[in-house]
Amino acid sequence: MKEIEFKNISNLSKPEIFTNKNVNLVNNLGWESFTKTGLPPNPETSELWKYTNFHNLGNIKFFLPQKKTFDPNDNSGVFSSKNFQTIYIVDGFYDPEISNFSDNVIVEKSNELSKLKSLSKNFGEIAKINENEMIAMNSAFMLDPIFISIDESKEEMNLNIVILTTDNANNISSFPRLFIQVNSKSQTNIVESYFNLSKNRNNLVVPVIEYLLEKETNVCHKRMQMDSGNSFFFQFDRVMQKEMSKFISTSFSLSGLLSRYDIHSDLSGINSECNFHGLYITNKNQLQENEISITHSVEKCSSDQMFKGILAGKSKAVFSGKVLVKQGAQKTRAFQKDLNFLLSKDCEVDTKPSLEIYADDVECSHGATAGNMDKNMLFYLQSRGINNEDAMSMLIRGFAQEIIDEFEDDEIIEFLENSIDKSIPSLEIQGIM
Amino acid sequence: MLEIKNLKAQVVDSDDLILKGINLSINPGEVHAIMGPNGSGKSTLANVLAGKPDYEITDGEIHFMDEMINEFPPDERSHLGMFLAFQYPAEIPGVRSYQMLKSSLDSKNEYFKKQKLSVREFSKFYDQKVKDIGIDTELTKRSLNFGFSGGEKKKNEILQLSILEPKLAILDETDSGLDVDALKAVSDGVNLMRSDDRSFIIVTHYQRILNYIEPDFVHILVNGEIVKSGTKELALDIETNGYENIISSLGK
Ligand SMILES: Nc1ncnc2c1ncn2[C@@H]1O[C@H](COP(=O)(O)OP(=O)(O)OP(=O)(O)O)[C@@H](O)[C@H]1O
Ligand SMILES: [Mg+2]
Repeated sequence: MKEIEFKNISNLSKPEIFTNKNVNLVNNLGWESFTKTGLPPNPETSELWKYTNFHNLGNIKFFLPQKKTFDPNDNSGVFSSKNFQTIYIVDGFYDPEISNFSDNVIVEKSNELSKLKSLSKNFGEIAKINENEMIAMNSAFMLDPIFISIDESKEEMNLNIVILTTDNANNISSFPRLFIQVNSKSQTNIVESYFNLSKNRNNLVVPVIEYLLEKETNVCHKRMQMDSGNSFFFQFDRVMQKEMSKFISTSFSLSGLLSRYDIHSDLSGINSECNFHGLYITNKNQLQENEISITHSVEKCSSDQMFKGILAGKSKAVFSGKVLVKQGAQKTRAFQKDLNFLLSKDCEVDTKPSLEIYADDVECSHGATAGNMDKNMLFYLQSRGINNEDAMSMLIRGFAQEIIDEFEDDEIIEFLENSIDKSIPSLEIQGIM
Repeated sequence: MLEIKNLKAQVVDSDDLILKGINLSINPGEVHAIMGPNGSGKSTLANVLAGKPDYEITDGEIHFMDEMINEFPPDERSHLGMFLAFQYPAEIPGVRSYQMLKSSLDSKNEYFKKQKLSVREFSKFYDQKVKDIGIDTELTKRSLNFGFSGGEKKKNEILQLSILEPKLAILDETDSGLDVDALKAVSDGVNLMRSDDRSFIIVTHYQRILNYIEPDFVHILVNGEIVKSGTKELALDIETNGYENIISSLGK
């Protein structure tokens, strides 16, 4: 395994050469850019990483992973279901052996592009290298970029993209990279599920996913970030939406040591719509950043952001909700909400709504709250014979339930309910009563 | 069953007594009505009995089911058979009535080291009670009390009462804000529950509910004290004459 230490960028060497011209170009540009700036922050991007505590990320020795076999049947902690077609990305490598999907889905590795060759010209166009250091980093260190194309299908389409980090003797760094095209008129549920199978390693995981939604597509995006609590995790989803497309996203984040969920959609075709809803749970000294941004490029589009946070211990969360309404994007509707449940006096949430509006016929709103355990609710449950601890768990779970129910799939809901029930007892509740 | 002796209580860390020495004794099977002007301490008494941590008892004792329960947490009081139907039931997001009541019964059975009901047994029991009380099944799928109308909340309290089968039920203005039919439904629900070993405290401003649920005793609470006790005729007297006479006869 090849060792890398991200603070000494001059000693680094580029790991991969790609046969596809466009992919290789993105890789080279990413490399150039990252070796110039190094890890964030740098003066130009300091605003973007204002709240991020990078700990000792630069000093940690990471290893670039090697392809490994993974047996989904052995790993009950990973969400899998017969009702979903599944694509496995293991430590950044696509594993076709264990993946299975129907004829309307095409998956190709970047070095073996055939049917999806034409997609490569869009590669790196939706998630741009010059946007930030971590996207550049992914572009520089990605080992196995994958292209996926989804066509219209007769049956209901459920696709689960499992992106997992295995347990290794060392800390590994992996850079999953996907380009997903959803073709005209297709309706699909896309689950992005992230699992970290090593409890103690400080792995670094930086996934970048580009979504291209063609006209009249309807994507229900369901994201689950099931972290072990010790990893560095920076995820960038970049969505380009054409006319009358819908991207309805619900996210569930069990935080790592440092996690960033960074999603952006460009509503570039009229009558398109996107919803970003989500729940984040942070504990101990974890930090979860949610950078949720939407660009209304054309008229008659709508967007809705609704995030809820449960914070315990000395943890911290950031909700940065951005809406940019460009000139001419009339009849825009854009809503934003961030609601937080603080379980300890030492936790902290920073909510930064930002609305930048260059059109005049626009309906926008934003709101944020941070509240503690409600004494009256607690007493109500206790008076019904439920002890203090169970009553608190019930209220925490209840706060989360609204978002969990939005996953609208019984198996996923059950999976998430179980994982939240498992994690509630370890939440550090302090000094709030 | 319930014996309250010289009970004095105040909001934690304040020094204004709200309850100023309450004495009340309730035997199994009895129905006691408590009436009194706004702010006289009726809800405070109900909450102190149920163990709300906002209040501290500065003097006196509460005995319930042969235990001195002054220091008992609310859940344990519930297990012993205390039930409070709230004047303003809390809205609890994301928690369903079914789920809460299953936990309630499970903890009670655990407390008494009894077998828990299976999901199927409980569902059957629950559905029957929902039907008996006449609650719209759509409501039971929503978060507890969330977006319920005033009357729906009160009916839902009675549903809980009928499922938890307490020894002592305290109804704090359960009749307020109910239309004629709902009042009838609530009263029927309560009357179905009446038995030789179950007692009720009915806090109310109106004689009306007492026509349906006939009280054995009526107490008048003024300024943190029970200033007069009597039978159901006392409630009729209040209905026509108000508290004026009683208060002025106190000579304060
Ligand atoms: N938690 C509290 N904090 C501060 N004051 C309180 C609290 N609880 C009760 N009080 C005060 O104690 C007094 C009695 O209130 P309580 O709610 O018991 O009256 P009540 O008899 O139930 O009135 P109503 O008929 O209006 O329901 C009031 O003056 C009230 O403001
Ligand atoms: Mg009251």
